[in-house]
Amino acid sequence: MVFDRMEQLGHEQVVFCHDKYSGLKAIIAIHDTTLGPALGGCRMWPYASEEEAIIDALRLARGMTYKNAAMGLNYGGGKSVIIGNPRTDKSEALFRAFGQFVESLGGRYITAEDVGTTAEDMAFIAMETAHVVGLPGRSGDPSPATAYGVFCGIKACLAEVYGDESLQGRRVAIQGLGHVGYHLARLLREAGAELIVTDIDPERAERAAREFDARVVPPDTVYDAECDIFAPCALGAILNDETISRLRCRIVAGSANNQLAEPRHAAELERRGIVYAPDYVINGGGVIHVAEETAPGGYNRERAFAKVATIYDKVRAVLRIAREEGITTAEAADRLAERRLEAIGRLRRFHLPSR
Amino acid sequence: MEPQRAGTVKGSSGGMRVSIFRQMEEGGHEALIFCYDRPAGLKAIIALHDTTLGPGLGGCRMWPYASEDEAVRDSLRLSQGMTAKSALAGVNYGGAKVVIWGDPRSDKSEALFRALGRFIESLGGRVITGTDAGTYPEDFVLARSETRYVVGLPVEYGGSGDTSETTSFGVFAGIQACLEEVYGTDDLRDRRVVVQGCGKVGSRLARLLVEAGAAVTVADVDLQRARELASSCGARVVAAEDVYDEPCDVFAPCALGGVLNDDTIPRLRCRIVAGAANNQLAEPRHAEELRRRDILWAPDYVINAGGLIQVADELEGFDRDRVLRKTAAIRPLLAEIFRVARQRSITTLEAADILVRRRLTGAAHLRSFYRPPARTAR
Repeated sequence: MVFDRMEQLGHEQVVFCHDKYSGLKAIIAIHDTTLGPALGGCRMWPYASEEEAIIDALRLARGMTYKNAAMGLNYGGGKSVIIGNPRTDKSEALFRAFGQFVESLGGRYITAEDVGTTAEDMAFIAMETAHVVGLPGRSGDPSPATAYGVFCGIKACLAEVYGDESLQGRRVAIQGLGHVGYHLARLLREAGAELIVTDIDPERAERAAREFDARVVPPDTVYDAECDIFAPCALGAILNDETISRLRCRIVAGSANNQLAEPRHAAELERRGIVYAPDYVINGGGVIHVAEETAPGGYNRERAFAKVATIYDKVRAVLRIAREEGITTAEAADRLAERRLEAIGRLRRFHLPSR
Repeated sequence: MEPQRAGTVKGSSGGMRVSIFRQMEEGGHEALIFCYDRPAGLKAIIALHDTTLGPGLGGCRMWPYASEDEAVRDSLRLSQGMTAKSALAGVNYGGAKVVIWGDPRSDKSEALFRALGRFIESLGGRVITGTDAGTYPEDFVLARSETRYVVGLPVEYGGSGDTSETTSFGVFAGIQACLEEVYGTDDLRDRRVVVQGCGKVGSRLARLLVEAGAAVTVADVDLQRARELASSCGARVVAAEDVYDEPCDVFAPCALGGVLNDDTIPRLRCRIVAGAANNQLAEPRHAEELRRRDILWAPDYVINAGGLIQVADELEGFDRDRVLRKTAAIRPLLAEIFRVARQRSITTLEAADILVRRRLTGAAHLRSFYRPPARTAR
């Protein structure tokens, strides 16, 4: 039931979009617009059922509310999913029809690329609506910004755990060397860290070994690597009952989404004295970067990266809340986001004649 | 926009959940929007069927649906009906419907209708709504403080007010078209007309018919109401349960939906069924059943479009004369539907559908013509 879920998670709006001519079936979920228009990517995926697509859209939209709030952005949380196979079902008409639906919401939802969609798809969407970011030739690939944000977040964790944020001689195990993992490896190596890397694609791992003098381990043993920092930059749910007991690190800080298999795993990490940098806080560089496209004067790389660097302060704030209030870092991240939503929501009570 | 009270909503409660996209594919719907506002307790569904002709226009129903599935089905079905209704009423609006899932007697509040108004406003004019079963013009006075896109407001708020006069005028014109088709003359003198329902529309229609010389019989579940109307305008009264058996030329259902069904159709002793009620057919196949018995049926959504024509006119600055002129066009429109039905040996329901598709296709083609943006004066 759609309303049951909306009620449970506090969503504002869920839009089922259908275009019989292009075959578009999409769901736009808007979770919370206290801070501003809902900003979140458009995912294309061959969901096995409508139910699955609804659940995914609602869950991801809510995640964007928290992420955007924690990143200090004036954007609410939204997400859209197109039901279809990204390899076979794409067309100009499909994305333009989707763009019309985005436009019809009048700017309450701003879309962007996500799993299964590309900057080129966004260009089609942009033919029908202004409410799209991440277009070719604007902010471009967000991975370097995401990696830089993770790098800053790792330093915040080091400062918390060791009282010294230097990476010189620190050992970091990186799981996954895709766009973000690769950029992160470079930043860490340049800062003097020793790298242990793994990837399901051996070529990627060998490239990192070559370029960054990294030690390669098989994908299934990365959890056992003795290190200061474990940086998951690939799959979700890798922090679970099976893996946590194997970890031999002091810090978990990486770019992967939904790293915890279940919320209780945050407590499990804490019990073992492992500091966990909440995923949606440390990996928020990408959204900060792409949101810069909407800044007055348009995208500016220097300003964007300066904003991404504030992830250091955000991670430190989260770790401090956790310490002071005796809660897990995951709970602390939620509180940071919720407090901002409450505080800014209260500002809306103040009447200002429209400018 | 629909003058009737909602009948019981059909469909199984519980059971297998029907895919929303499957239903949208079958009906050709564009969008289904779930709106939720926790503090206001608002749960509303906005269904947009087809916007080829213009913004989706459709009333807002408030109803304590037994399940979400029922609310979804009702909104999809009703919005589809509105596309057809607007297309044939000659107004440039698409089909939409809003349903609020709640009890109109206990769940209304200022916050609820203002929250709804915000959602309507956020769609920027793609959806325009107004009163329907369970909602009143006063509710939309509240919504209006959040959105421009409401119609059917009370006169003192710039609305056109009560639509029953226009609706009954349209039904009267439609009955004339039926008489012309069946008897070759629209003369109502001594024609026997049975009006089912003595509400706002039924009672006005009865008066118009009596004034035109018809022998009118009225019925209502509230017998006292029927008696009062009959004595004030010079009509006869028949018991509500006997209304289908009354011999007459025209049977005019102006109350509930679903009155043309397996039980009632064999009892009808008329040549024409033409009235204001919504969803008169229990099922589409009952149109064929009427045709088989040589009873001419004026499709409900065509003959009762006067109310829609009136509220749509509010968006262009309400003008009563213009509204009555547009409503009078129901008569030639029905004549055309009857002609198509006769020539192709199909039901009037099917013939109306053909005209709907004809108008939508024509309008869709117009949209493919590139028109440079309007130039502004230098």
